[in-house]
Amino acid sequence: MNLEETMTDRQPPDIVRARDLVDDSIREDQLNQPARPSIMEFASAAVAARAVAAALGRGDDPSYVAYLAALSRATGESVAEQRTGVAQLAALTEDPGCGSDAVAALRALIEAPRPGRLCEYALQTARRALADHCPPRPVADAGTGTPGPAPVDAISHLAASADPAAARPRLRDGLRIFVDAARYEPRLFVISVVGGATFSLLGLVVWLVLRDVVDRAWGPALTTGHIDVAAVTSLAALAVFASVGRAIGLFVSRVGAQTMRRRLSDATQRAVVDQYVEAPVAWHEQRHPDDLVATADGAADTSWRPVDPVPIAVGSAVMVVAAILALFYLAWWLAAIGVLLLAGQGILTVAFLRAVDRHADRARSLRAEIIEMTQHESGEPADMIASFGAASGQLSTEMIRVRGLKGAVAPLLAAVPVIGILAAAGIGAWHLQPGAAGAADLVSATVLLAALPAPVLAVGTVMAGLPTGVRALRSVRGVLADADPIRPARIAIGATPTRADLAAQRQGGGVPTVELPDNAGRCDRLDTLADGAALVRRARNAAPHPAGAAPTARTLR
Amino acid sequence: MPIYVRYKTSFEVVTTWLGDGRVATAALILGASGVNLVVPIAVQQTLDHVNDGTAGPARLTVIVGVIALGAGVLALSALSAFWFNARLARRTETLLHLVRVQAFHTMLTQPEGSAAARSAKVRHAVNDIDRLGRFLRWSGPAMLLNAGQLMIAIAIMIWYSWLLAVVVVLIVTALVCAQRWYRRRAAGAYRAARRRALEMRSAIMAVILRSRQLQAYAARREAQARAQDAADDHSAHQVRLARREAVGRGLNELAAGVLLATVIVAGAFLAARRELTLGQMTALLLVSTVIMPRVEAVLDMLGDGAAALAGWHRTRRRLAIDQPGLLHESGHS
Repeated sequence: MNLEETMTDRQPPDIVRARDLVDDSIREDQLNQPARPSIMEFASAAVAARAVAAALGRGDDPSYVAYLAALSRATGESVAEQRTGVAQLAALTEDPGCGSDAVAALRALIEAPRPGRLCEYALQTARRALADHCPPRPVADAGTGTPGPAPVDAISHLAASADPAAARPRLRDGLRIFVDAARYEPRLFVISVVGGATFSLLGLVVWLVLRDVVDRAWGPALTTGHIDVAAVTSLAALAVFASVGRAIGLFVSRVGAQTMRRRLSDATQRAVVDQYVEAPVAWHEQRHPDDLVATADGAADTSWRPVDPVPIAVGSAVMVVAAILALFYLAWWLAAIGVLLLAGQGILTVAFLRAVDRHADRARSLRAEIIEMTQHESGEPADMIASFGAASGQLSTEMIRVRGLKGAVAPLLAAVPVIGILAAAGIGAWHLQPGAAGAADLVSATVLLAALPAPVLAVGTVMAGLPTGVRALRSVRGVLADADPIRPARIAIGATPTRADLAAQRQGGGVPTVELPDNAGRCDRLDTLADGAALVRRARNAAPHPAGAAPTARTLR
Repeated sequence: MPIYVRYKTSFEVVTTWLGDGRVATAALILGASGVNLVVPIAVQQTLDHVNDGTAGPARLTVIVGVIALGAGVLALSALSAFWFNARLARRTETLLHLVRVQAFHTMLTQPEGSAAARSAKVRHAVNDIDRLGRFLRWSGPAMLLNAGQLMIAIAIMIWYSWLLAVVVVLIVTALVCAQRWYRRRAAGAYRAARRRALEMRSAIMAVILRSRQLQAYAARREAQARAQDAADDHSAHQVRLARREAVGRGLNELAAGVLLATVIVAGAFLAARRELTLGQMTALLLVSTVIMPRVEAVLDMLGDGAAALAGWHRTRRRLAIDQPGLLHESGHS
């Protein structure tokens, strides 16, 4: 039995005819045992580097040897080798001996035309390293407004900005995650948001109970010396019941959000694993297994992680509206203080996120580099320890910057509501009447103003998780959108086929009419993504091919 | 590892982390927690002066004085928090850098085992160090600040009414015990979820490895089915775990409700006996609302810290990292 017959026997019937178009290179790879990165190859890079350096009369210069070894790896063919080499070159940019050589090498690697270009991860690492080492200068002359000479380092900046994958996650992309979550799991989304709103609003009720405690229970007791048992008991019971309600709201919100996230992650993971199963060997050979596992296991889960805090954030937003209305009921100037307080916290939070963004990105990429370095032994131990130490030191510096910024902003964020409460107490005290009623008003204002920062924190938690989620989703989409000659149609996450889409595909692709299930257009769960993909595949496989010939990979593409 | 050794090394980690100036750090924590003093005391002073009949320019003087004092404490508190964060950031990052490099160095210089085994070892070590780093960077400082705020809140309570403070401490202790019991019960669920996550990862790896073989389409489908089963199992465990965690959080909410009800009832008795002024009772009420969120935060972060320290112990065992050496080396920051 030859290879072709084996394939025909083992493959499911819907892809057999397409599979016979898998190019010869796969077969050659299979027969010739494809070259994979190995420790031996990495070791040979170091040996070769030492030999070259010796020939150039710089054999005793460890920096130069490390630079040559890194360059040798970065220009290697395997993804793992490139990643290691670029990480080492990036670490060497700080080296006084060969820093300029490393920068020049990184720039040359970025500018290299396809083919022979770096893999995507290595390319991004190289761009970040170059951008951090040589930040781009403005092109236009600030004085005359005329364009000045093109800055040398603008190349790397332009290259980075031209690549959509390397672009910074946009807010719109992040919000799309929530929209998709609500579209695919509407019932769970609504249930968890209602749970979150119940939790937050009952918190407001608890705080408003405090007003009655002062006004109806403690004030009279202080005046008369007698306890109003009914009032005290009812208020204590209300406090307990409200906390029970809060506990139930929290339970519903958290379990609902977690169930929703698991369902979405599972569906995404199913789509990714489906891609792995159906992809040809050549596709797998171009990718490192660890990356594929990270996408299916980590990225598929991480991409929906921002959904987790959304119900509580939405609930907090509802609560803040109620709190502002309650403050307005007490006095218009209290509502004004509340709005100013919210604006102040919002401005501080946005300013902090903007200031910290660059350092956080840099720290993230350094952390990835450090983890990458631990994956493979690639060279002389001394060189590796030096590279690792340099990257680790840079990570420490970046983290100190990030935490320094956080340490400066966090006390201010904590101080803003207190300033608001002091202002309210000051203005209120001027008009305050002696007695329990006045004290109750002051307590109400205090607790309402103290409650206002909660939504800012909750929304901040959601926003902080967005970049990671967007990056993970991009990684998943990158895998799903990869050109695959045997897959008849690709349905990306976030673009679940609607009934209209399927109808348009029928018209445009000459696909015969197929029976659509009633729920194909609603897609109320992401599970229907798999159903939609299967539906389109079945329709396209059943399409009559021109001249009755079997469909080829080219026509299916 | 015997339990006393575990506690000893945990103590060493914490003392290394806080460094030589532990007293200064504690002072900074208390200073940073001063922000909790401002609101209750400002409200108490304002109400008591209003109820005393202070009016006109005298009332204005009191208001200005209270606001100025509050602003001063606030500024001092913000400065303390900034210094505390900056000091701990430098120290933590230096420590983590040393630990990372030492782990990597140990991995490379260990003669026994294959390169792949050593690589796996150091990968686990880096993950554990990463977890320790997350705790030392975020949860740890927040835990110290929350603990400081809790102490300040209880100190205010003792100042106004020691009896009420005792009642509050008893309720908090009961909550801590209940949470410990509940967490111990839930430990099995956490282990099961971790095991399911590993199984799912292995199943996905099997799919990828099978898919790298040209003639293995039937095997690919089998591996895919196994991965699907593992993913379903993992998801079911994760949801079960979320349910347990939500019940744990619910316990905190219930405790907060019981605490508030206790303060309401106890406050009524204190008011009837006229032991406190209205301003003091209002301050007590405001302080009582602060206590439970702080307790909850400290409990959460203690859980994080236990997991991080367990990872650190594992790393030390695997790589035979010499902690006293680390202590000595990191002493400069």
